[in-house]
Amino acid sequence: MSAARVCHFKLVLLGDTAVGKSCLVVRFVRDEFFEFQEPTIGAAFLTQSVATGAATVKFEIWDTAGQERYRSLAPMYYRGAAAAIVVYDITNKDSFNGAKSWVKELQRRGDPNAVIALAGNKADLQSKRKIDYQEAQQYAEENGIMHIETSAKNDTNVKSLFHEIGTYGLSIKAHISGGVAQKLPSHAPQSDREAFPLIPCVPTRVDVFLA
Amino acid sequence: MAPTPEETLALLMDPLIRHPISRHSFAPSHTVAGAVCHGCGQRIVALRDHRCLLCGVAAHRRCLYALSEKCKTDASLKCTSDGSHIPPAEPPSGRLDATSSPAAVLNVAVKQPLDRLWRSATRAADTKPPAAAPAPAPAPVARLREAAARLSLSGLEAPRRPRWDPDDALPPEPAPAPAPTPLPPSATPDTAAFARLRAAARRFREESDAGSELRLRVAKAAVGGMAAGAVVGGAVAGPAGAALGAKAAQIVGAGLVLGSPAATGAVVGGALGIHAAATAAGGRGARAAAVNRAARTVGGATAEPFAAAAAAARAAHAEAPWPPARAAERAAATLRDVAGLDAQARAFANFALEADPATAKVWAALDDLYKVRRADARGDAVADARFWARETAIDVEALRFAVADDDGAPIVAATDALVAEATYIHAFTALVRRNRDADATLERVLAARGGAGEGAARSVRRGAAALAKIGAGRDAHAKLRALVFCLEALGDSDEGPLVTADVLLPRAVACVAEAKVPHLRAELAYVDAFARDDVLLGAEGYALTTLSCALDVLADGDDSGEQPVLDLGGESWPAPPAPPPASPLGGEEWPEPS
Repeated sequence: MSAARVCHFKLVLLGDTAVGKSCLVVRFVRDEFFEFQEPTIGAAFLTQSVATGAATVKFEIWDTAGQERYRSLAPMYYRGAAAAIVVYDITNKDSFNGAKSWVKELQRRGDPNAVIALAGNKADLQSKRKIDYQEAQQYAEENGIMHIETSAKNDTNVKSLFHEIGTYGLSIKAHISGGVAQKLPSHAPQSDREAFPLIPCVPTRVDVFLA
Repeated sequence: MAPTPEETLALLMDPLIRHPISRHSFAPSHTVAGAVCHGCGQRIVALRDHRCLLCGVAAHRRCLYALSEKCKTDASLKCTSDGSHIPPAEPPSGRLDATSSPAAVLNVAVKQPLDRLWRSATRAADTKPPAAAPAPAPAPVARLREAAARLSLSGLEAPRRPRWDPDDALPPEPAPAPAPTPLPPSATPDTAAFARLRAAARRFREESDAGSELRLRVAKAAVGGMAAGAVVGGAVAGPAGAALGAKAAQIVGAGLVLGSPAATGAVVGGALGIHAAATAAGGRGARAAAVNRAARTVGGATAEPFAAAAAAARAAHAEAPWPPARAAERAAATLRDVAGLDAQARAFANFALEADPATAKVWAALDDLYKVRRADARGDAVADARFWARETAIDVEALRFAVADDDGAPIVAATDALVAEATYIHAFTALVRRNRDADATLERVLAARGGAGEGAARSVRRGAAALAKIGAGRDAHAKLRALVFCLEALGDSDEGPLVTADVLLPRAVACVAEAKVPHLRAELAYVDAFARDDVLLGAEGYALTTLSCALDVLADGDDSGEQPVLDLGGESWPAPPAPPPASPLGGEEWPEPS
């Protein structure tokens, strides 16, 4: 672990209101074991790290307001995002249509290298299902995006959703960093945090000299 | 490859750093055979001695201080070399990376930019070349250092210090200016040096106003200084030293850009202090302590930069003959006298030395400290020191991007913050003008809307109080902190189960209405323009985005009819009348969608 790199991914949550965006991410963040609790802004901005094979991905998760009247503000949120999770509710047809429009907007106006994942939430409510898995899967394949059904309530697929995004995002990043001009977020945040080349020694306390 | 302490000390003993009085440049070396000490005339029997890199004479370490004292009266003991036989160091390659040696980093990042800066400055400032100079003019950097060193080492009253040894010979105070000087003779050499520095700084400022290329150069010089400080400090004292060194060197850049002779003097004085403290202190702990204190003094430049740095340098020089622990004690006592920095220095040193950069713990620690700072916004010296530590750690992080990255763009990004500090008034004024219409519109909307006053929710009032501090920040990241505090207050879930963006945004709108910050559009535009990209990916960026959105919402007049504070957005909860669960994960009663 100590030898792994840390990559920072800005991840934006999109989707209509009441599809469980926040529940999904809160489930992800609060359930995981993590060494320290970073400052958060309510449940609207959270961070969580996922260890993948190549590196540790630290997600900086941006929640967005789902109400229709805030729709026009979304570009300010997904600007520079390395990944986006578009959430819909499998029991709600409208939310799936909303998700489609989010995907379309991201593909048109977002970072072309961003990872887009379509997450069908509330998979525990099978009896009320309105969106077939196959239908969403087919849509995702047509649009070249990831698709997974999750349940924040039962903690189904939540971890693997983020893990997949992290792995896929890393592979994309490795691919595009080979010379293609990069956009705003692409260079700065990817540091090897643990390699602190300027610091050679294990320090010692110095109270004695200050006493 | 991390530098060893020896390498670092060798760097500290850079031949261009000459003792301001003796003119020697002593560096540790191995005794060859039967060398005679230049200071006391006796044979050196220890395995290690100090040799002047310029003229080659050897001396006991314990004699270095006495030697400099003797040099005040006996010019024959002084170094006569002009240093011209030392070839200028060349970078091993044009680029630096994480594996570059500290010497290469120092050379590429510091010496060369400083050389260029000095040359460009002296072209303007040096209307009268030093015709009467007895020796060839020393290298530009040496002149810069020398001039500033003399500034900081003479003409100032040093505070009284406790005497630790009845036999010690404290330098007379104020120390007299060295008699021979390669600088042009004038009535008072200090004035000449002062004027020279000021002219140089003024020229930098003018040129950096005039052209972006020069601005960039100044910026790079500043980051170069950071690199030097971090390399030196990091090797000597671990993370604390790196941070402090970076801060010290950052002030060099600021001093140059601002044209503030005090800042410049402080830096060079501080650098001398670090240099001498590290030389004097033997053990790692003592060395770390000495460096910490010296650099902390430089960092205290806000209050009495000149005096503090001069005192630090003087104190550190005075430590040379004593054993490390005693030297450190003495330095501590000096600093206590100088600036009352005891509590801060102690807190800072302990904090920094506990920090382990190899793990994320350091960031956790820093964040904890950040919270400490937040809990006690002012007045607590410990919190203040810790807060400052976080700042410097961020600087060092930025520096690491700069050194490790290939294309150099992050260097510019990191230094922009430094340059922004110097250009703040200009840039902000311009943005206020540019956003005048938008700000006027906003003010009209806010006036029509009116704040909720006492009726506002607690989180909104607290957020508004935090937001009101945005104007006090003098750079983008200080302003960003105000925004983050604001959003953290707004995100407080005291009043509701879970503050999602659906809740946060209306609260932000209410907060803006409550705070009524003047020029808020301009403030946010400034942050957006000058904050580092990597910072804007995190909570800081989220805060900025949310508040920008809140302004847009207000401008659109689109928050009508809603009770923003009470609007919980209905994320996945049933209709508002039903009390939402304490946490969506907390209980069994996962709400069914209606």
